[in-house]
Amino acid sequence: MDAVFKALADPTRRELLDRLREENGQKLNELCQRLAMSRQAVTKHLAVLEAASLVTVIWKGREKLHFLNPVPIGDIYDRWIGKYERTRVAALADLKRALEDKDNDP
Amino acid sequence: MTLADKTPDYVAVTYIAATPEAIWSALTNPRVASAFFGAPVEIGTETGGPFIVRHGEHPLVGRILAFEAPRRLHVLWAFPSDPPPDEVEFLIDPAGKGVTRLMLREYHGRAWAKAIVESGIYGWGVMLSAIKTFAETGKLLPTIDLKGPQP
Repeated sequence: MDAVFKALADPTRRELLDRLREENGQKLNELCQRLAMSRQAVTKHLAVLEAASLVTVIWKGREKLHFLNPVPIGDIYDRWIGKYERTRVAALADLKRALEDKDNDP
Repeated sequence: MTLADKTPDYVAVTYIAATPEAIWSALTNPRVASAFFGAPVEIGTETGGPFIVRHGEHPLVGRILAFEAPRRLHVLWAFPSDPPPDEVEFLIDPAGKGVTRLMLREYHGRAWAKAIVESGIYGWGVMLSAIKTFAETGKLLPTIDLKGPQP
């Protein structure tokens, strides 16, 4: 679990996970777009995410496709949020979302 | 048939402290699947066999497309009441030091709405946990509410 928290403790790596959540199975080139850093730096970040099993790679010919693996974050959720607390947590999250959406309305 | 050329729409991976054989027998054990689905389950023992979950009015009536013990189970994930079917593939690979990697790949038969994909992701997480628990401890994970976090 240490590797997961270390991997998540970086805004670029969280950004990479956000992008994979938006579109799973992206190649390195696609992930490098709109990121103001070198290809090598992105490769390093992806390696950290892979080592923490937050990203899983599938080879397609000579290219790597990157997939978000939700299992480690699911394990964190299961460890600290009990079965009976989930309903309440979800209700608060929904309330927060609803209120924030309201504020954003023109 | 191999899916090497197909790109999955969704992938999940978990690492299990058990042999590929133990994971395979958990994966193909109808008791483990029944506890997970909370409904009677029928799983065939060869390619072409059934993968059926009799929950309510919309049963899953799937078919085993590949039964390659202890490495690969490929299932046509079909709801006759709601075609077209998806495909689900389970891949089991030794990862060293007595640890085995279980990978799930989902190939969608249609463009699912994001909300449906996300509720499915929650269900897969529980299923992988059920297989992991059984392979490591021989215990069945109790049936829990599969709808996930509810408002």
